[in-house]
Amino acid sequence: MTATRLPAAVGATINVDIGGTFTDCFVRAADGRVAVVKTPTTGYRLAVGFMRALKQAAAELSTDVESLLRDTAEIRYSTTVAMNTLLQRLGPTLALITTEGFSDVLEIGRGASWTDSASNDEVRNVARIEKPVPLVRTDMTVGVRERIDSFGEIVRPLDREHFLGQLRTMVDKGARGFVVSLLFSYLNPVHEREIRDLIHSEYPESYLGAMPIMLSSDVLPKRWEYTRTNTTVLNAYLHQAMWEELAGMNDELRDHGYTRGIMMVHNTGGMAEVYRTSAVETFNGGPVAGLIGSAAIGGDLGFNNVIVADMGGTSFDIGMVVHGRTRFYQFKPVIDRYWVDMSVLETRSIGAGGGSIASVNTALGDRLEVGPRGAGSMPGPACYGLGGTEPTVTDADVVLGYIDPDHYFGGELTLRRELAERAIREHVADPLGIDVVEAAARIRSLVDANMADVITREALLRGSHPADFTLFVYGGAGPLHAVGVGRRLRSPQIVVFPYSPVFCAFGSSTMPVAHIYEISLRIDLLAAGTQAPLTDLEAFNHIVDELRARAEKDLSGEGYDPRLATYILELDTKYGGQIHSHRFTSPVLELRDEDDVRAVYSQFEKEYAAFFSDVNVFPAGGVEIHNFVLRAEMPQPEWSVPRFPTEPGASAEAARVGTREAWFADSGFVDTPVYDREMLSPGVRLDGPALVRSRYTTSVVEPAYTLRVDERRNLIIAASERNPS
Amino acid sequence: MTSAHAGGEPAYYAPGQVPAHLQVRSIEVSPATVVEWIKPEPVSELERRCMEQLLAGEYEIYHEKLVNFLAETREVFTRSGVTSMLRSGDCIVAIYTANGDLVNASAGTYLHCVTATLPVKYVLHKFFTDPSVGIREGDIWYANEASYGGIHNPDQMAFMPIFHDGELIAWSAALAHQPETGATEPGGMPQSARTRYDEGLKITPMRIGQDYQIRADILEMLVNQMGRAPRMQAVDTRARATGADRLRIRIQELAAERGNEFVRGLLRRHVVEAEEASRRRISRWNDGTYRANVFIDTIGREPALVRGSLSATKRGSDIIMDYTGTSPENDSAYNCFPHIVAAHTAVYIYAFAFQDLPVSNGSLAAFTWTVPHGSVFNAQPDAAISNSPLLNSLALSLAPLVLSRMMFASVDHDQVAAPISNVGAGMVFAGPNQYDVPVAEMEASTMNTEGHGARFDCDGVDAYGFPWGHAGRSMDTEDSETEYQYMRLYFGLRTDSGGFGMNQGGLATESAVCPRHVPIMFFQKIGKNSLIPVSVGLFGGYPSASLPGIWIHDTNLWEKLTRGDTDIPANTLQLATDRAIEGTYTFEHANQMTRVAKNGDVIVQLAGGGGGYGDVLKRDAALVEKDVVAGRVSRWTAENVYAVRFIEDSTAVDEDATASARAATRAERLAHGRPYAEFVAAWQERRPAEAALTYFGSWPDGVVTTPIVRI
Repeated sequence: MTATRLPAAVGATINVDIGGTFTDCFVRAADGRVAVVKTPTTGYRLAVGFMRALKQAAAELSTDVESLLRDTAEIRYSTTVAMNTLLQRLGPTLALITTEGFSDVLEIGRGASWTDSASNDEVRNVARIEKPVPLVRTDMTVGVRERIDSFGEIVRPLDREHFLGQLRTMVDKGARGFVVSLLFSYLNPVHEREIRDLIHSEYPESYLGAMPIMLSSDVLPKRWEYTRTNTTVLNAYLHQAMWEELAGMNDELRDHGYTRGIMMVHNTGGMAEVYRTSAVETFNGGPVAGLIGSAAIGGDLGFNNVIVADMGGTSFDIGMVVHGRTRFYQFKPVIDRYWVDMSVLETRSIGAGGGSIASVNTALGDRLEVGPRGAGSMPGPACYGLGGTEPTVTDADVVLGYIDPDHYFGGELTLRRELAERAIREHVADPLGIDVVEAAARIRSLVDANMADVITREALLRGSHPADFTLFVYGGAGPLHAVGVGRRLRSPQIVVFPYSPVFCAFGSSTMPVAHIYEISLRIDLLAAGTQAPLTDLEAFNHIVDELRARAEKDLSGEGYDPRLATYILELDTKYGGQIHSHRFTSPVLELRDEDDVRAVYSQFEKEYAAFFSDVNVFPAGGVEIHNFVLRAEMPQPEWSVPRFPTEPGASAEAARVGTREAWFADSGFVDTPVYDREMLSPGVRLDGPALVRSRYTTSVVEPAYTLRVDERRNLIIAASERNPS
Repeated sequence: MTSAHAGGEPAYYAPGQVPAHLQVRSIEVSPATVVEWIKPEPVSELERRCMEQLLAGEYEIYHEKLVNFLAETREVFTRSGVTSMLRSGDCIVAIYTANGDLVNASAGTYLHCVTATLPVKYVLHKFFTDPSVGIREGDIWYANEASYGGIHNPDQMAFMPIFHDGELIAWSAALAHQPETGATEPGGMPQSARTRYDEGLKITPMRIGQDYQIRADILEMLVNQMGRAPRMQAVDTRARATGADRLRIRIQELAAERGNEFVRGLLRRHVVEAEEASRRRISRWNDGTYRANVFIDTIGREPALVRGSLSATKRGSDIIMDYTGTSPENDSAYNCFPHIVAAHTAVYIYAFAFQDLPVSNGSLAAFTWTVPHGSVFNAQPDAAISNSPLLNSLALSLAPLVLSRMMFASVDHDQVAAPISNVGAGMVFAGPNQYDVPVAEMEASTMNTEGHGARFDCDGVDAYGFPWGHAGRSMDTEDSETEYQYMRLYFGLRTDSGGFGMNQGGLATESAVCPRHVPIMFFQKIGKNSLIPVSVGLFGGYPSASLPGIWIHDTNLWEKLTRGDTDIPANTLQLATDRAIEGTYTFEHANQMTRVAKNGDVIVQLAGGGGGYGDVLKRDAALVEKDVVAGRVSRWTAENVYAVRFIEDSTAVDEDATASARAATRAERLAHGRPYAEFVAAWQERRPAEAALTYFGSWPDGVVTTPIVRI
């Protein structure tokens, strides 16, 4: 890939996203140039692929790894290593220490834990349900004699002797780490800390085999024991594997002369030093980086409302930027099959990708369905010729002429159209009594509509309408389906970026250093019945001060001046008696008087009404704050995507590399011009139908749509003015 | 015909003038007959034309769109409501055709996929031709009266007609259970009720809002009726209306985009397709008559033996569900109406046999419901029915017993499973909480963690969920104790609670709840299986364990905890056998009438395990060993039920000794064998104790012996 010039930034950054298949690297050099590299991930040792990507990037920048690292201010990194460790169940044998009488917390799983991360079809099929298998064996879970109540008062003191007996049993049974999660420890961690001290006193760190101890009150001092325990167990389970990978990476980089910081991308939307990162914060870091990058680009392009759509081989991930804001957290974050309660930025994933399988549901009167089953990368779509026989979205795209079988994935893979046709004929066209092309068109239409419906639902749940959003697309299949989705959403414009193939890595280059701190404590903002405002302002302020002190300590530890940080306070709040709380941003960090209390409530009511309905606003029931969330964010250096001179009236002809028959709804197959994306100059405009080919994907410009290349080399696709959609 | 809409649908029609696509089959409306409205309405000419206009490929796309509308609506509804039963999933949001057939739903419980249809049809049937009422754009209707199609009056439902361009094109609804009805006892399910007049507020389908606004005067009346939980009524009435309204907006947007005819065609096709699909499914099962009998051991206020009988006759694509033999109605609140039985059967059908078919009343068109008058399943209109869900543990167990057998020799074999436990072990409590706010709520953690039935190829799932709503969730202990005025002593899985068998039923949970921070707390417990289990096994599997009711009052619990005593019980077995807590122990039926508990009392709650599948002697001894190690099964059970032998005091199975023990057990069984006729003759000689038969009806037929007169 080519190196291009960027405006000078404050120091160079190396941004890497290690996925399951590819390691993506986006380097912004100190002199403003960028390099974009995509290399296979080396699962046996991630550092190998990482260094290989770095070497290629250095070569593109006409330098060597050592020189590049010497000039690099920061390495930013997201990885799926945590997910891979989990998928392979490679974590250590852990012991879980709970309150006596409550040691089945993971098995009970609030009842229907079989629904966590299950599809609608799986949830309905009650005969075949399975719960997630706990990461701690049943016989490695103990209950200790202690009890703290809902006001943090000690009801039963810790029975130290009893615990020491249990400890020895757990060690004898092979414990290699301890998770301590006691009831109400988020209000009063005294017993969890006593247990840690007892373990340390029995097995000092100076001894061989010292074992990590994780307290739930440290990892996630938040209410509700199932999610807090899950989070703490996951963290302990992944800790060692993460650390070994990161240490390996660190050693490689130090060996090549790098001496500065390695930052991890967090799923909370910020990043922090590796040494101040917990394993669970790294889940889903890549897509979150993509979302943050989209917000940054949106800001640069002047789009405040953006829907980000990443359509890959197996999934369709979406995120939203509303009024320039990305802080929509997952209502119910689930990692693998474990419900956690972290502030994970919202990205939704549905089983709709290029590899999604199309089938005819005979039970439902020959209804065509696409997904959620996917063909995966092996055997993959039928046209790959690797043994797949079921038709996929990619097969439909090949049959309809959008994908060039001879130029797939930069020509590295030759597709077989006849296999795509056969699969569609056998599994869709013949059962429906239609021809192959019509079947392919229906597959494509259905998957586009499904994606649009999910986006619409998510937008509406945020009190917004999708027609008010610009659609950003990336991922291998994204640009192929962008217009199909965007037309249904009535998107005013669709944007495809030059860095789409490594967009998550690019996104991390735009991320701020940010930490999130959370703590649970119930505070009644307005009293039930009387609606009297909170008078104990100190209770509120004390929590915020405590969170802020933790933020300042971490930022100072990372070498930043915490006085320069921006602090944002978010509050999980609900009307009295409601089950679910709603998170909103507090207009103040400190309550000084009753007016401040009223201002906080007003903001809650405003956001609540916008999300749900005015009908539900009910302050007479009381207003309760349950969680405090403080986000501390360091200012980012100014930056923008590089701009290039545009040529008004520039012709696309120079970029035209041929024609191909492609199918469109109103015209059937037509000879469609094909353009090379790299050769399209800024300022070029072209009318659909057209196909714009790049190394890893093809952008489809349907008839009645126009594409222009802007000064940042983005492709902007919109309904033609003479033919508004 | 008088029009209230400029240029659109009239607000009401003259009798006989209602257009075909808005007509509901005329029936003599009564609690016994509204079940007939489960069958879809005939396809009108207009709807047929609209369906034909749907373009190829469009139906699939817009089907998904409706699914997304429902998902969005349910999320809004769930997040904005108060009642804890939203967490249990005792709720639904649904879309209907213009004449009230259920098109699709997002359901926490499939109960309401049946019952929430009927009030919509009632409004169309009764008020569309009544000039004093009519149906208008912007109406918000409301109901909780089971006589017109509901389950019982805690289930409140808001529903709205959807107009576009002045035409009635659909209906939307949102329903959620709330544990307070203003009845004679807190909690909405009074155990002492003897007639409908003891059960609190019953709202016949009525308009509570117009022009898209709830009327403040009516809301005030509703809140006034719920003196024990006014906040809940105020918030949740709004939440239901919000849910129905959100769906209304989406359908109107769809009509604006594609036109009214498109919407009509799309909605009706869902219903038609559902019927066709379900009939194809049924056709592939073996014809025959399949029978089952199950029993419950309570009518709420007292222990009693009540039988549910089902004889399901399947011919081609039709099934007649005949409940003849079911015990007669009684003067408790354990009665119901036929549509309620159908609704409970649907809870099983939509999750097993029809798990991949649409949730539409079209799917149930193949079923005919024959429910004898005067039985507990078809009581008189003045009967108390507020505990109809608890009575219908019978229906929940009967359905899998007959349909599993029906599907056994078919391609749907993987849906074969023993009944899920359906004890419904909840504790209703009331009084000021620790923040001095009055609450009337359900502690439903054990109710939402019952055991799943064993499957033909594997065990059931432990603490699987809520038998009436499958995916219901229980509250964490920290969550419960933060909200409410009690502390849990323990909350865990109960050893030996799953039905034994070749494949074992899922374990249930157990809990002990102790009032704290308040001097007293009213409570009432619902439960069954203390004397005879209702969730029985399949093909030789055992039923789940029995469940006593335990209450310790005037205890020294807090002193013991403060002292850090080492003998504080961590499960029910320890609590009941060691009796380390001082106090007065009461052992009784799990169903407990309303009473007052003091601060520090201990109230035990036990959920039920799932039914077992197949012969215990066929269970892999290695699985038994694993269960013993994990504490899921006791050593006693392993040795005495599964006939497993261990190597001395270890938990390692002695395979040879086990094989011998099992052979001996088989030989013992054979020794008990006798010719069938001989067995039947001896069996018919047997009879339960007379005291158990008070509410059973005649023995053995279950026919009415004492007519019920209610005043």
